[in-house]
Order: sequence, then structure tokens, then C-alpha cells
Amino acid sequence: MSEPLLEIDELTAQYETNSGDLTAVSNASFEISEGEFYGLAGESGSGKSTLAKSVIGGLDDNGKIESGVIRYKGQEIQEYTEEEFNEKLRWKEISWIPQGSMNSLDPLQRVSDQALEIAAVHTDLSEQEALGKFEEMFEVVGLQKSRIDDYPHQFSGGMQQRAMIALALFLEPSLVIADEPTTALDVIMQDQIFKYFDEVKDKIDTSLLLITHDISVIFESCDKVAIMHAGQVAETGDVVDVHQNPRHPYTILFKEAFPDIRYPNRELEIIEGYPPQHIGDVDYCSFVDRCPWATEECREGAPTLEQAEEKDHRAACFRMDETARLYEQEYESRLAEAVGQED
Amino acid sequence: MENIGYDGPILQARDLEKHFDQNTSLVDTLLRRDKPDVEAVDGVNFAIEENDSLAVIGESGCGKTTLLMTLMGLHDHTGGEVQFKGKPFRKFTKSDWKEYRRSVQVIFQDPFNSLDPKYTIEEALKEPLNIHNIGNKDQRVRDILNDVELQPAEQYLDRYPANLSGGEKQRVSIARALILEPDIVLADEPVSMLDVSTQASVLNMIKNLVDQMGVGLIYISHDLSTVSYVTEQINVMYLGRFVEKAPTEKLLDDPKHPYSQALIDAIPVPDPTVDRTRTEMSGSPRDPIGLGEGCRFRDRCPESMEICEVTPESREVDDGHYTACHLHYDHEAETEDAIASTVSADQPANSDAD
Repeated sequence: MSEPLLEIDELTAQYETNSGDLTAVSNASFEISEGEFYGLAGESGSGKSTLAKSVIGGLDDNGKIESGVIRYKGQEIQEYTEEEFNEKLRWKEISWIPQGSMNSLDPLQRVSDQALEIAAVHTDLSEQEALGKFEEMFEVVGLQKSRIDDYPHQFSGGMQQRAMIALALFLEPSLVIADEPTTALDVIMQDQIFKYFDEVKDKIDTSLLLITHDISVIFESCDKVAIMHAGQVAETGDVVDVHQNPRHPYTILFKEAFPDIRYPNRELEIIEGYPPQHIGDVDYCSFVDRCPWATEECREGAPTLEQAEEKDHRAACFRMDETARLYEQEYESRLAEAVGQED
Repeated sequence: MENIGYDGPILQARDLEKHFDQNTSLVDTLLRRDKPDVEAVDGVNFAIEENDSLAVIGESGCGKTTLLMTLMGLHDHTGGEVQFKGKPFRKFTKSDWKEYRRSVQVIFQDPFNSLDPKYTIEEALKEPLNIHNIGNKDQRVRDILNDVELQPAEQYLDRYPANLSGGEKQRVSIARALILEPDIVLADEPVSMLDVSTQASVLNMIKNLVDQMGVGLIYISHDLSTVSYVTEQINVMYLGRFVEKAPTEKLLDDPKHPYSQALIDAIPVPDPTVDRTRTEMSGSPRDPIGLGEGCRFRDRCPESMEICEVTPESREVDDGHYTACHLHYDHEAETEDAIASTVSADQPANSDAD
């Protein structure tokens, strides 16, 4: 296998707070290959946005990378100075579609001027070339190229979102990080946007790191997925493997908690409790208090990602070989109970 | 609110219409330029009984929330009527309104901002009881906290909303809505701000409570996949109008209106082995301003025809399944009359202009 495009290796990120260092990401590892669409899923507070911000060097002032390494094309990102980072990576190599990106365009600047500014800082394209290229990107995301000189308020919400995507793709980066790009949008608009992402995948060779709480979007649009719970990566792998053969209890329950329009009568799983917040190092499985099958072992040490049967499929659970059976047993006993109640 | 012998639906809307004036500037007024109204809700009909549950779904900007505000009496309707236990809003006295506000309760979308941060949970739940002079407050508060699974109740009474998680806050909002034993609960996207892990439990709870307490539920949402777990009937709304009304399963299996079809087809399927085709639809709904005659979906509809310039009427296409679409009724017989009547309605206006 060739070298991964982005490699996150045992990353721990913390925020300094009054009550100590709050660990938002704990010992997280996964890698993204070139041209791959990678989904990062989890509840709010699971550390997915912190992880993405670490990659682009955009952590808040009180945030820091405590340990671990992020490698981009084999180069450690932390070694770059802010200046080098700006010069070599931002927009050109890694671009970022922030959460609520409809509000991320400068309201006082024409969209084309915003693109020109990026081009002027990061490339030596002439104004003419830059505009030509930006027009192309506008067409890729389904906007009329005659509208590049519009102000953001002249676009509807969905169009602003697409303009933001066009900006992110503008310098043909190798990696686009999208943080909940469609969360505020209606389903039809969401589907339109992913239609353009599909197109991007076909036409431009770029990788995507898609951060969302909506696992159905990841299952549909991504190749690989990582599931996070309270800062720890619970499971990673090919979407098909993770869907068909989930090994971590959180993945199993999270997946079953999701409404599926095909089965409106199915009982939805409920995950009791809330993800914990950690101060200092995390030396246990963060899911232990919510897990129906936790043992003493889960409190004594944090499980690491171990290989499952399929290639690239890993889970961090001490009982990963038993979970499928345990869930089935529980499901059957619940069914039996329901039948008993009806009698 | 005495209406002895009334046994119709508890809450009923007939051709309900809410149009907003647009701001007109001084220049507009001087030049006598009229700006067209914003047609947020237009010709909405429904009826709900105790124990019924119905959903209103549609994209943002389709008028769902305006409909809710109008039903609460926070907006005055501009046409049609709303009847509560057979009595229309316009005949309400002050005490009728108070009674109505006890009988019709709301659960808001955002549990983070809809509770008073300076009230403890106990105070927040007692406030409506104080307003409506209902006794036995302590017991009621405890009972309702148990009902919404905030147990043991003592642990929650003295806490402030800031000390609760999103799911717990939403349970308090639900408790606050149910503590007055209402006839109807209006829920405006009650789970859209919650995580998936808590979403299911709140949905189940709303469903069970409504079943047990014999409350009518109107559930407003843009998310068809959660709605289908809660309500028995779904109304699809597009630009201020109901375009389709059907029992939940029928709507999901066999949507008739092209808009409902598009809406259902665009829902992601949480299964990587399924290859769903992406939506064919482009653009987004236009502004509900000066819409005029005709089907409001015609500019985005893949099946748009000439006849769509005439507003389609709602027709029963199957048992309990209604849709307002020209694809689903007999044109030969009906539309000739419709065209004839619109033409004759236009005629005098034209001759005046000449």
C-alpha cells in the first residue's frame, strides 16, 4: 500500500480549562488514503471537530496537541511554523469547509474577490487565470459562472454552501475537510450537495474528511468511516464492513439508534447516559458507563484499536469478538419479553 | 368554553390562511406601489381529535412554523378559520383564550433556549399551575417528572436548566407542556437539536405519553424519518399549502404528489450496500410572495404540465389518502369547468382595463 495522505497517530488533544486539562481527543488513530472519502461520526462532544481542527492547525487558543503525530504526505504537520503552514498547506493542500459554512463567507466582499484573495496569498496565478479557474469550480458545484461576482447575500442558503465548497475546491487541494456541511439544510438540498460531492470525486482527485453526526450520510457517501465516542476512536474500517459486521458496542447501538425510512416500525435503540468529559489522561474505555456489556477490565485500561477479520477494519473493545453474539442474545431476550407481555 | 353536545374534532382548521404584509417604504406609498403579500399559509385544512396524531412536514420556509403560531393564536389569521371544540377563534372571549391556552400546549424545537435559565425545574413546572389556579401542585410536579422519566424527581426539582443535558431539558419542556393535562400538544421539531442516542428515547416518550394521556398531537418537522415513528398521519406542506395527506405508511410506501416523492427519495438510507439515486430536483422553493394561480410546485416539478397553471384541488386518491396534484384527477371532466370559471373571472377585469 502506498503512503497514506493523512495519518493521525495516537493523537491526544486537550483544552486548558479552570478545572484542569480537558481531554477532547484521546489517543486517536486513523489514516486517509489519496482519493478516499472518509467519514468521521459521533455524537456532539465526541471530539470530531477538535480532531479536524488539529489537522488544520486551527485549535482554539486554549487548545493544544498534547501528544501524538499528524502526518500529511509523510511530513509531520506540527513541525511546520504558522508561516510555513499558510504557505504550503492551507487552501492549496488542505482546505476546510467549516460548520455553518453559510455564515463563513465575508458578507462585504464579492465571492470572486474572496477567491482572488486566496489566490493572491497562496499561488502566483494571474487574476485572469484565477477567475477562470474559479468559474470552473462554480460549475462543478452547479452554480452559474456568471454569478461569481455576486455578494453572499444574493445567494440562498444552499447556494452559499455550494459557493463555500467551490472556494474549498478552488486550488484543487488534496484534502478537503468538511465539518457538518449539510446539517442545517433540508434533505433535498442535502442530497443536491452530495450530488456535487459525488461529481467532485469523479472529476477532481481529492480526498474528503466528512465530519457529521449523521451516520446515514457517511454510509451513503464515504468509503471508510471512523466512529468516535468521547474522544476515543471506537471503530474504523470500510463502511460496508462496519455496517455489516460492527464490533464495538457503541457502533452497534449507534447504528441501530438511527431511524431508517425503509423500516418505520422498527424499535430504535436508545443509548443510556451521556458521553463523559475527561480531565487529564483517559485510562479506561469512555463508553464503559453506557455499555450494556462492560466488564471490570474496561475500567482498568483503555482498549486500543485491534484488527478485526476484514482488512482495515479495527475496533477498540476488549470484547470485540463477543459483541455481535451479545447483541443478538439481548435482542432475542427483548423480543421474547415483548411477546410475553402481549400474552 | 361551554359547547354542550359538541362531538366533532377538538381542533379544526378550515381554509386557514395567514398572509403577511411586506414593509412598504414612504416612496412606495407615495407612488402607490403595492407590494404583494407574503403567502405563508394558504388554504390549510385539517381536523384533529383526542388520541389523534398528525404530522406536518416540509422544507424550511414552507410555512410550518407560521401555521403553528397561527394555531396558538400568536398570529391573527387573515382568512379561513380555526375552531376549538366547535367555536371559531373570532368568537373567543378573553376567558375562552385562557382556557384555550391551557388546553393547547407547545413543545419548542430548542430546549436550550426555551426554558427560563433563572427558574428551577420546580418553579418552571409550577408556573403554569399558578397561572391557571390548579391545586395539588407538589404532587402534580412529581408525577409529571416521573412520567417523563426524570427520576427520582427530588433530584431534579432544585436544579437549573444549565445543569441539565439537552435530552433532560427537552424532557422538562415536555413535562411543562403536559402538566396542564392539555387536549392538544403542538410539537415543533422536538428532537432536531438532540443527539441520535437521546432522540429515540424522546420520540418514544412523546409517543407513549400521547397514547396514555389521550392527547391530540400535531408534530411539525422537516425530517420524515423521525416523524414516521410518532404519528399516524402525515401532511406534506409546500409553500403554504398541504399538497398531500395520508396515513403514515401509505405515504411512505406510495407517495402520490411529485413533491412528496422527491422528499422521500432524498432521505439518506443508512446502508452502504444500497445504491440510492440522488435527487433529480434542482434549486430550492421560491419565496412565497405573489404566487398567484397554479400549482406552487410546478417550477420544480419533473412532471409539470400545462394544466398546472391552474391550482389543483385536493382529491381523495385512495382510502384516507388525499393529494392536490393534476396527475391524480380526471381532467376531462373537472378541469374544463375550472378553466371556464377562471377565464370568466378574468374577463371583467380585462374589459375594465381597456
